[in-house]
Formats: sequence, structure tokens, C-alpha cells
Amino acid sequence: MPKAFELIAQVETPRGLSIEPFLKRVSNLKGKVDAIHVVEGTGGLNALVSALKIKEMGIEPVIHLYCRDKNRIALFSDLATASALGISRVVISTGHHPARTDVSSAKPVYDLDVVQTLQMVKELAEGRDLAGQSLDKPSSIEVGVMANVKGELDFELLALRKMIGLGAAFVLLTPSDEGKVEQFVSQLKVPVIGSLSLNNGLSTGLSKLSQSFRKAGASGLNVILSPGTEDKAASVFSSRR
Amino acid sequence: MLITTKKPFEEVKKMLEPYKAVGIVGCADCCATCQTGGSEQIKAMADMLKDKTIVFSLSCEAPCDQRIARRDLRRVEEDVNKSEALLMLTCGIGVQSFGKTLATKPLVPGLNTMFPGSAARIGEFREFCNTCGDCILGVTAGICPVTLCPKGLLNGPCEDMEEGKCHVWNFKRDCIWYDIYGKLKAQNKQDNISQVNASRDWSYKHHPRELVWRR
Repeated sequence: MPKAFELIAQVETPRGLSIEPFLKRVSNLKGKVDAIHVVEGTGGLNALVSALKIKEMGIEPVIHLYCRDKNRIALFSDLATASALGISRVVISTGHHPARTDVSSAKPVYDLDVVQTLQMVKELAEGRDLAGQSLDKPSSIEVGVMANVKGELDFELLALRKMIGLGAAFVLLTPSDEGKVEQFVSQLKVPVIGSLSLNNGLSTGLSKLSQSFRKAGASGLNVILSPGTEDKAASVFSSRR
Repeated sequence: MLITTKKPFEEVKKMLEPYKAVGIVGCADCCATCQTGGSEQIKAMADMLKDKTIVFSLSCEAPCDQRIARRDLRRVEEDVNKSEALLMLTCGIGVQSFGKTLATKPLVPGLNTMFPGSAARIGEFREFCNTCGDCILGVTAGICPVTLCPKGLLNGPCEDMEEGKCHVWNFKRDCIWYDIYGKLKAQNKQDNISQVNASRDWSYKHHPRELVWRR
């Protein structure tokens, strides 16, 4: 984790057969954010490949993997590929159940949950594959997990501490105000990143909001952009720097 | 028990189209409770198949048990021989268990097999166990997250839960992990949540499963 407060733009890969328009929109964010958090849209372009393209544009990517879509073999492959490509930060979450997407007929995978994926990442970091065989080198992937701000704090903390015990390097909160951030920051020993959705613009300026998140102890702010608005959203970020 | 539903009658009719003389086999156990293959449903089905000759009907106490299937088939052997096909108002296990004895007789499934479940009352059945083969009820306060969490998560709630409610059910039902947590707290065992439940060995579930403890 970088030491300073980080501004992260969360983007969703588009459905469709062209990657260029998406990359062009995302390129507007260069120099305005510290990292781009790449989430794979349901059936959208591959997050890992999109992240590599973003990295090639000179922006640091963070990729998001869902337990929903891939079994342990495919998740391992993605994590190993990310490591091989020098994409060192990954967020792992379960992902919306297919029933809550527009592909409700899909078979949900959830071979591993987030805790179990962290156990697998630990093996990868120690240079072992799924079958326990030695790899050519240990991975240097940092995994972040999501914390649910809409739960009972004590319960969420029990589950989070379990994940941190297994090596979760940072915690990304679901969208919340800075008050929630403060609650989690005071209870956890790893960096906590707050989140907010940039749906219909911001009532207050982003710089003011990021200041209040920083003041609450957040190590960063993950700003969720609506698909297709990455270029327009760039103007919001420009007010920061 | 195994929960079954009736196939649409049109589908059954279509499968029976080539046959005139038909026997009907029901199940006096699970399918009777589900009201899909009990004596009343056998009778109702016979009434609906007006254009067929119903050679016999049989309410088998446990069609899933091949020994009982064999015994009952011996009793109606002549009728079976006279039937061109048997309409099975049983679960898929019953159909195949009968098929082990009746190698060449066409067996037509009249039901769809849904899940192993519990009867709350007549007409309300719930899935509690997904037969994973590696029971963790001992650490989850007797509530199965493998089955009752739509994501089958073994280590706590997901990021989509809101105020203790499950997003898959549009927040109209409780998140099962909150039920587990509540029950564990009542038993003063909330530390169970800190236990890491390791990934499943799915080789337990590779199909077809079998259990042979006596050779």
C-alpha cells in the first residue's frame, strides 16, 4: 500500500467487442487518480486483460475478482497471471449472485469464498500451487477484501479479522459516509479504503469529501464510476490536483 | 425426503403417445407426502389417461429401494408383461431403481425431482441439506450455510447483505449467516465465527456418488 492517501477510480469493464472506447475514456483519468480499480462487468471484457491495457497506459490497476464466476483453478490462474504481469493488487469479493444480474440463468460457482481464496493466495505467496507443488517463485500479490458497512459491526469485524489473519492486506468498505470509515479504521490494523458512488455527480466537491475520508482515518477513497462515464468523471477528479 | 413436483400433463401425454396399455407406479413414501405419487394421485392420473388401457396400478412403499421394487414387481409380473410402458409417479431414483429390474420396459417419468427437503406442512417444502458429504452443522449452530446461503459461503456473510437481509431474496429474507450468528451468540459460541472453514473437497461430490461398505 502506498503511504499517502490514495484516490482510486472504480470502473466496470463494458460488454461488447471493442475495448478501445473504454480505454480511451479511462485514459482521461491518467494523472488524476492513483489507481484504477477494474471490476469485470457481468459477461463484460476480461478484468485482467483490461487491467494490463490500463497498466500499459501508465496507470496503476487494481483488479477485482469474483468468487461467483470461477472455480479455484480459474481463480488461481488469474492470480498467478496477475502476479506474472506485475499487477500486484487484487480485491476479492463474492460478487452479486447471478439471480441478481441480467444473466440469472447462470450457474453460480462460489467454489471458494473470500476466506478460502485468501488461504489459496497464501499458498501462492509461499510459492506453492493448488496441488502443493513448488512454483518458480513466490507471488507478491496484495489482496484486499470488502467490508460490509450495512451489517452488525461486531459480526463484520469477527469475519474481517479472520480474513486479515489470513493475509488480507487492506479493507475496502462498501459505499458509506466517513462516520462508518471511522468505526472500521479504529478497529482494524490494516489500511481501510472508503467508497462512494459517483452516480449523479457530487453534492459537495470531491476534494472536500476525500479530505473528510482522510480525516476519518481512511487510507484511500474508492470512487465508483457509472459504466460509460469514465471520461466525464475525469473532470471531477481534476479539481483535486 | 425427496421433494417432487408433477410434470405438466401435456408432457406426460406426449411421452405416453406411442403406448396404449400402461401401468402406473406410485410411491407411498416421499411422493405421497408431496401429493405427487400417492394412491390419490395414481387414481387421478388413471382418470386423466382416458384414451389408455390402465393395466394395473401399484403403490410401492419405497420405489427407491431396489429390493422392494423387485419384490413388488414379482407380485404384478403378469400385468407388467401386458403393459407396453410404466408411468412412474416416483422420483428419479424410483424410476432408475425400477429400471434395474425392468431392463427393457419403457419407464416414463411423471414427476420432476426437485431436492432433498423437509416438509413444513402439506404444500410447503424446504431444502435444508444439499448432501455435500462433509457436514459442518457442528460449528454453524445447526444451520447449514452450504444450502441456505444462496452463495454457499462457509465463513460469514457477503458484501451484498443489508441490515441482516439477503440480497438474493431482495432483502425479504434473513441472511442465513445472521441467523447462525444469532444462534451462536445465544449459545455463547460466537467465537465459532472466527474459525476458518476451509475450502470443500468437492471430490466428495463428483458424480455418480456411491457408498459401498459391505462387499
